[in-house]
Amino acid sequence: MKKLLLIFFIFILNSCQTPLGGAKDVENIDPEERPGIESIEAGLWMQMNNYEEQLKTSGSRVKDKNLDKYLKDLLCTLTVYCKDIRVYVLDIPYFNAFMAPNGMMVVWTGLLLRAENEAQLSAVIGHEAGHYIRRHSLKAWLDAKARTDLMALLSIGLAVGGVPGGGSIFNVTQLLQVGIMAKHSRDNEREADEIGLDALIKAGYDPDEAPKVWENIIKEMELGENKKPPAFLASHPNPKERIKNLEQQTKRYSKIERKKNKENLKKIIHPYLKKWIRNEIRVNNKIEQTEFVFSKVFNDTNNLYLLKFYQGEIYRLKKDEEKNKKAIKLYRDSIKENKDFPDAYRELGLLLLKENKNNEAKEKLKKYVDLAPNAKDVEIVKSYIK
Amino acid sequence: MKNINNILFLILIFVLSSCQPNKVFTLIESGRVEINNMYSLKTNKKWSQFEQKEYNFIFWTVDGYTLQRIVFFKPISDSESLYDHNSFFTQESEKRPIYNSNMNKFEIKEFFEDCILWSKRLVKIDSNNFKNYKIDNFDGITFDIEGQNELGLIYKGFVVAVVKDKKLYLAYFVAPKIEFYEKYHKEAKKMLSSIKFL
Amino acid sequence: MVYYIYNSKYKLFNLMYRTFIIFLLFFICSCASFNTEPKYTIQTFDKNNPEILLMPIDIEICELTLAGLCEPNAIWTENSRENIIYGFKDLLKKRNANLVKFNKDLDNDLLVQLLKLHTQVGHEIINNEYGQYKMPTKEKFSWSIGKKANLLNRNYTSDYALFLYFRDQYSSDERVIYSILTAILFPGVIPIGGRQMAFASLVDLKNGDIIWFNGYYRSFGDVRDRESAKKTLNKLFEQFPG
Repeated sequence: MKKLLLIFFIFILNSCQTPLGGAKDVENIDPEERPGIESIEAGLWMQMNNYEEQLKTSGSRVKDKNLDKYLKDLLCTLTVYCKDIRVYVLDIPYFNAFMAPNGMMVVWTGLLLRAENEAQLSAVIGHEAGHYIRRHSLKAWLDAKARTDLMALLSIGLAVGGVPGGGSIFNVTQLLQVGIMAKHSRDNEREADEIGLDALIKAGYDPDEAPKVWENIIKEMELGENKKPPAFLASHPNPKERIKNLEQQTKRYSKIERKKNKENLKKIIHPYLKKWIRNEIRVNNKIEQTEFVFSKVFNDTNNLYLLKFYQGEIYRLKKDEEKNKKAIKLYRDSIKENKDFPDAYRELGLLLLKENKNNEAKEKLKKYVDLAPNAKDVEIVKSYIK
Repeated sequence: MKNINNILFLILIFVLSSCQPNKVFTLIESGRVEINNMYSLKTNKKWSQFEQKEYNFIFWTVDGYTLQRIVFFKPISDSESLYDHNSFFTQESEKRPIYNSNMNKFEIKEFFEDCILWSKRLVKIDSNNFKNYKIDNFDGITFDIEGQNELGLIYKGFVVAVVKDKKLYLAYFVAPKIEFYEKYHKEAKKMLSSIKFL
Repeated sequence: MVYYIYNSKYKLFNLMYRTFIIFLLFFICSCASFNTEPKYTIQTFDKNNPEILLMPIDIEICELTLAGLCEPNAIWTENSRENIIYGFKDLLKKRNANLVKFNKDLDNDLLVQLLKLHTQVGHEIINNEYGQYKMPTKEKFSWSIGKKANLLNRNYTSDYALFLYFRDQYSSDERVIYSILTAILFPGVIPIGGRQMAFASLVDLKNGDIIWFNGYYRSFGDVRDRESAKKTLNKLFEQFPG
């Protein structure tokens, strides 16, 4: 009887889905507001401020005045809170951005690579700013604190109640609680989506670009290893649901401009493209997944040669005889599109050597040396021509 | 956040309590020294040598791995990688970069860079001065490297590599650019150019 | 604390790296706490009235919730920082030395690298002096960040620089009660209580040599008020020159 009562009690507790620990009553932060030093929030800020100090000069950070200014200006067209938010770019080849409670926003280069235009990038940045405005980190902390406290109390309660195997019920409770904590994140994500879309539309961007971000992610993941979204989406609403919500929300606005600003974004990331693409290939995802990402990066006719070249690179770096043949074809396609791009000749020449097509290989390598006589690796290339 | 830290401590205690308190460092005196039955080289300084059977490399240092090191990899065969042991910070082993004996010189350089990044020895690496290089009269390569670790400390160094009997022999020197690279790179260069295969 | 991390592969590495490395190194001894000896190369200052440059103290104080999460506490941290500085000034007075605070202006890239180098050297010192595997080339305590250390001496009056790293956790009242109850109900299970971890290094600005170093990890000590902080500082600054 006691056991049944306790199980019933656990069930009721876990059905409680409203945010606990005062999280429900947390209000928006005001622009330029700072938490009082005695508050829990001040503690979270302090910890994140320390982390931010390290991040500023960390090895992963991309420190570029133009890029930093571009992101800052973009943020300011989206929200008045831009004075309270600092954006940092980390050189990590995955799609990610997150907002810390003290106003530190981090964006990974994998995201900058995948955003097709400024509107898509703004959708994500606006979303993250939403987390700051709604104080979601503080809410999540208060909720996590209260739930873990309850779990701990429950374990004592069970022991006092003399329930045999009380420990294992505690574990089930833990699992249920984690499930609910993940769901709270999903509610916070929904709010952030709403705020982000609102900011996007008010700044004149095309709101249909916001759901495209998630459509591209879904498509990419379906082409990937696991065929399902990575762990991060566990704490986010189902992407299909997200897209639906965004589309519904767009209907509420009467005046909608359709700015996309593809060129602005592409120009800013151009100096980093070669490096970020190399990092992307290095991650060694499935070929189809990486090809899909690149098709979004190079979606112009005048950089088709680059698309072909980097597709060739994807195949070459799998280091497989069959794939080498495909790579050779792609390098040839790249050269057809642009006869003066040196790298294509070099890679084509080196692969032809592996296929024992020595004469043609040397011809291609000679062309590389002609096109790029001052390249850093010319000496080594020349040694292959002999 | 601290809760996760606590769990990590417990895992660590578990892992480390299985560590045998054996000597992992030995003293290397100056002179001509043999390394792992691969080759010998000449040194004018004393070094601490680190060797453990689970690791496919040996390294020499004076002040510690992260302050200066010369790393000598055991011969790498097809399908092997440069840091093949399980390091706590590496990503899934299936995605580790692997060597194959058909690699050309460019691919060997790429392989090294990929292994450094995959094992997170450095989070950023750039190569320069890519040249042909004779190691004990065998045709090999050398290139300079510059990079940063996660902390943001800038490192400089260089790599020498040669393929002999289809196996890759690679060694590299790296140290923080400030203070330590200046103090040790000349000696490291002399040492690696004195390599003679056994 | 929930950061909306998108890729779990980088969860550990990115966020925990700094704290984690420090903890990792301390646990290389496989002990829950250890008593260490300070390391030093000098016992007295070679100058009569030396000036010590106090580098910005890396300090975080948190409170253990009932369940064992550690909630960072800003006001405890600020108070503790002040108490440590006050106590250290006192300590220096007794040694006829004075203190000057380092101006945190870090626009100089070289300076940033120097500070990072010091952190890296600190890690290697902990590894070698307090860890299991000692390097034969380091029988003597001899570490340096090089002559460029003098870049820190921007006012041209300082002789030494002191670096301090400090972490501490205090159990909330609920945590204390929970710990007692758990000890009674689940004998043998020891809920993790507050931990204090600190290390300090003194650098000679003429040549960058680390002339004194101390680190410890223990489960008591309180720096939130001046009197208790004095006791902690006495422990931390054991064998400090002078």
